[in-house]
Amino acid sequence: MIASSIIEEEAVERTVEDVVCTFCGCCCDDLIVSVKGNRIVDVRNACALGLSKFLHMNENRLLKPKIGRSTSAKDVSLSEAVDVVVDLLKNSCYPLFYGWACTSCEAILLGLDLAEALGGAVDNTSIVCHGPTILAGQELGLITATLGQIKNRADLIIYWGCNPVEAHPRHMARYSVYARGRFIEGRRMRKVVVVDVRRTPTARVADLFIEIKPGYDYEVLSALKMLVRDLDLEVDEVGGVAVSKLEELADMMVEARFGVLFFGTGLTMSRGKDKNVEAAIELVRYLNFKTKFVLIPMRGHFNVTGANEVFTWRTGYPVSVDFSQGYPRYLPGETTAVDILRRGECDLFFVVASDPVSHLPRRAVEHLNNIPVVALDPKITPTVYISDVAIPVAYTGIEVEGSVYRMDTVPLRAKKIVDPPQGILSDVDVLKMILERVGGRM
Amino acid sequence: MSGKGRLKVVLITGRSVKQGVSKDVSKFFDEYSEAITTCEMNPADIEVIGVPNGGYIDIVSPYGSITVQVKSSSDIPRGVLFIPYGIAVNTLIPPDTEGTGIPRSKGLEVFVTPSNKRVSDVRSLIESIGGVR
Repeated sequence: MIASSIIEEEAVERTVEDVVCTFCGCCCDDLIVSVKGNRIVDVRNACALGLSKFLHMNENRLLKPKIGRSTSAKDVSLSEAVDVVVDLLKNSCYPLFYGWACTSCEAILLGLDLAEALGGAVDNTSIVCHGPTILAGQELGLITATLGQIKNRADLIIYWGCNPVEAHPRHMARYSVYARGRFIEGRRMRKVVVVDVRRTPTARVADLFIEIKPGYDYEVLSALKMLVRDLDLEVDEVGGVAVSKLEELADMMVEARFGVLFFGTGLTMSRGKDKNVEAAIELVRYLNFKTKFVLIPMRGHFNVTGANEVFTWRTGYPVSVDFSQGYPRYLPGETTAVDILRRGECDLFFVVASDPVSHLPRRAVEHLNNIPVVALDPKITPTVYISDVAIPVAYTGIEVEGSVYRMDTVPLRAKKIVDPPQGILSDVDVLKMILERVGGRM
Repeated sequence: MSGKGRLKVVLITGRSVKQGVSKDVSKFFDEYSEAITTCEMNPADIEVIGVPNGGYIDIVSPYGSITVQVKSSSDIPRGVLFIPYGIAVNTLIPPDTEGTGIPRSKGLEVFVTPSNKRVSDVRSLIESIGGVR
């Protein structure tokens, strides 16, 4: 420790520019990271969420592979841990591979190959965010754009069921409300609408805030679909909103030269789920008879969009793929991770770059009491804590480079800024070792 | 359905800055535990339940129950309870995905009552899921 702190004292501070943030789906690629020795000492341009991830990356770090759950865990070597994982996988009839939001596309490809080689199921964290957006998009298609187009052209910004001030803190400054675009020069040239069930911090910046009753998004979107087609509503209010207010919003939408509907889990996690998103897509479709309008889902975790992209290249399906029949199948509600766990079908749970113990319903993850759990993660998460085998890995986009996708499906190259702790490999390297041993293709 | 001290509310989960910042420090630290075991309700609803601002309530769904601290916020409409994502609230969320693959994490009806228990302990919640072997 003393030696390393002397080295750090003497080290020259260097800066790495154009770093891709690894927190949310904004993937802001303008961070400037200052490094002294092998330690990140400052991050400029990051929001509070990104800053916390970079500056606290070494707190509560998983530094050694471990075997055994929680307090009975013991440290082992990487090769011992891999041996145990390979044995568990070879003895498993139906392993479920889950996670993939905070890792690279290269690692996700290997996860799909593992699932295929072993006849298991593989799912990503879309199932707890924008899974219903995928379902709706498969029914109707998405009329969408890149965030660059929004920055340069959008004069009406609608945030529906999302709260970027807290969940995507730089979204408004970098891509929408406050961004200085080529044709739209910042806030004064844009109108901003927020639709939500509560007055979020985002609502405070809106020109128009519409508070709807929880669970009434579908009704309100359907009413707007009628209004933008000049049809009369024979009621005074819809979903707790006065029709006069909806008429005001419909007029703003039609009068916009380039409108965008950003939507979040307020639509996907509420009553109606994919039907809510379908209603939003249909509204945007009708608006395009009168003006230019697009919609973009506010994707949450770092590379969750990349997971959907890679799943689709490899299997034809963006999420929830089952290889138990020897070929890829996709049945939402059947081959989705929450449903597989709830029904107690998988006999091994293999987690990469995610923390399902914290973020899936308890009644589903209680099945982890009955089956072996393997986790690859840089930190000691609750999932790592209850895993039978946990293998530490390097941070993608901080300690190893990799390809990732922003929420608007623009691919970016995440950088390596510092070295991982000694002996810690990337998810790609660990997955390759495991895949080679179980006889999968490389 | 709702008597004095017991109130039916709609549960809304979501990201908060405190939850997002603390989750990447450590989910075993107090700051994160506080973030995911503190909910927000309208002051009028808190008065109906009969707890002070900052008091403790039990939230009960058909799938489980948790004890959390309640903070008053006039930004939350009557009949709604907001709590950040995390292992605590996931105790309450239905595992059935209604054929979509995604659980209903917003819009679930739950009951809240005043509590004399301690706030749900995050480590105990984790261990009760994974078991200590």
